[in-house]
Amino acid sequence: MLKSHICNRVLRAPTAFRAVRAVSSYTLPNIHLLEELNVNKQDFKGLFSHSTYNQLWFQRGEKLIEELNELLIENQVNPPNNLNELISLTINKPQLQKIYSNSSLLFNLQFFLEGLKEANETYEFQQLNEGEIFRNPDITEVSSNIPQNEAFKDWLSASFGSITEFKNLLLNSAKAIKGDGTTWLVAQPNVSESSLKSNFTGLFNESNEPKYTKLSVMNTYNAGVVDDSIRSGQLFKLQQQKKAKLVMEQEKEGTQVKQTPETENYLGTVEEAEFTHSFSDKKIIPLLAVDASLRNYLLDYGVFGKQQYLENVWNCVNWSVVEQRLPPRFIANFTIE
Amino acid sequence: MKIQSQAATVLERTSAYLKSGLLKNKPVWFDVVANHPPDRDLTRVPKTLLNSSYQDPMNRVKGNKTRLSDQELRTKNNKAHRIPKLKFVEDELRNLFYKRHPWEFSRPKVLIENEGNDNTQCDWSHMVQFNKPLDGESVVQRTMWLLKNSNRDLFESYDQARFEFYRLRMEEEMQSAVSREESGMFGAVFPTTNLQHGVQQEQVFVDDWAVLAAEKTTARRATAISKTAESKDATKSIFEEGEERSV
Repeated sequence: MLKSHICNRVLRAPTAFRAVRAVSSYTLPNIHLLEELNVNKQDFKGLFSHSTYNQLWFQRGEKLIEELNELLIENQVNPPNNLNELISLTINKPQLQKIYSNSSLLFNLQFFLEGLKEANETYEFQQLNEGEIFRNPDITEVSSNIPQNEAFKDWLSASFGSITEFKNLLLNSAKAIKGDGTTWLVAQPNVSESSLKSNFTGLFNESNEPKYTKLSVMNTYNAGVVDDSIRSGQLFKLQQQKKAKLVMEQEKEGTQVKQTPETENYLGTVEEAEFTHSFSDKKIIPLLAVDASLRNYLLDYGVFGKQQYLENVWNCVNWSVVEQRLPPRFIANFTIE
Repeated sequence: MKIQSQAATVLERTSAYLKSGLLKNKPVWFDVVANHPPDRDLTRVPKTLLNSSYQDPMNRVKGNKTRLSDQELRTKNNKAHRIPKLKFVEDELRNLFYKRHPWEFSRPKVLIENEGNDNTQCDWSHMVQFNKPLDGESVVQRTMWLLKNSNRDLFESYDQARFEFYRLRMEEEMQSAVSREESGMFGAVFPTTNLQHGVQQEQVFVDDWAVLAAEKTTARRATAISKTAESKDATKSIFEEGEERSV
């Protein structure tokens, strides 16, 4: 019964970003597994207790949707069908910031929950104590809930070294998030959007479509979105503003530090290099989300339970959904970074 | 009582005193020394002076001997005095670990301890410690704990400790990278890194020095040029003379 259910969901999953629109407002999308569990008031086996997923999805999701609808009316925005479109429409408009953050939080939450299945083994929920800090890391190779698709496994190994290394990177990234945030497995194209638009890459890339060469892990914080091509330039602007502000303040105080002129020998800082490399305007496709926010584990696992929660999330990842989300892999004979 | 110079005979003398009744009770060390008597006379006797004073004046070597030779001064049987080398497995593990992980040396380490017994506050049934950062020493101590408290042999214990260390180090590095990124996203600006700041501080002095150095260099060059001009004149005259001669 459950199995066929999952299969149904998988078929629809690739176009999963729909928060259903009725006339000019959104309603909470339907996640079949959660709906079914909620009817029988069952626990999400191996990950959440009934009250937790009820709070996480049904209550919080409902609240986000309500707020979003109110804001849309208030700001007289005509909502598009697709939540993704709404995000890219509002991301660069400060006056619509609340609409943006509500829609992106909703998108992230939905994406995370849709990528989960029930674990094979039950887990007894308990508030873990401070002994968790001293827990010795498991040094064995990952054996539970590994993806079955050979092509996908191969791509993972090519990008991260091995499945174990991938799991380690994913869970470490999630564990390191201090506040609200999500860790993503994403597919990264070889070239940026802007270079696709300027015809330069037409030499190598006839269709002018981004080609996906490697998988990577990234974090977003609060209501952040994965896709670089729509958020590109935001951080750069922010940094420029901050720097200008700093200089103005120093001028006022008369404590301005003499800037050394950039000569031709100037190598640039690590930050600058990182900046141009990491935020490089690429159309990134999300494949798997791991929500590492406190609200996800505080109720069932306690303050010290983050590691255990993340281990459990790994056991609940529905790899068949992730495989459905995969773009076609492009294996280049040579790479241009 | 005559002052006794021969410390090695202390046992004989004490037993004689006991026999004669001069000492009534056996000293506490008596049995111990009797069981483990000193196997050699540890007192050093200035032999040659004794010899020379009682030697037959006819057989005496030419001139009086006033000091001992190097050979005679050299400590004989110095193995008895040498402090034995202390050997620990921990040291070998430390050597091995730091040889394989040389970059671990580049991490700063606090060597000051208040009581000198910080290690006793650690519980090595786990790798993470409250009062000690993760480093090579953690691997050594954890290996020793595993060796004593689990069925693993030395190599297995070391590998277990080492891989636990790798996992924790990866986690630690990710923590710092993410908090940096996180604060960047919340608006933090890192105008200069620590290294860059150092270079900037240094640059102020380098600039001053550059001006000074330029002056001195021009001055030195000027003197050097005038000197070469003089010497050129001198060589020229020699050559001219030579030419004249050859002609």
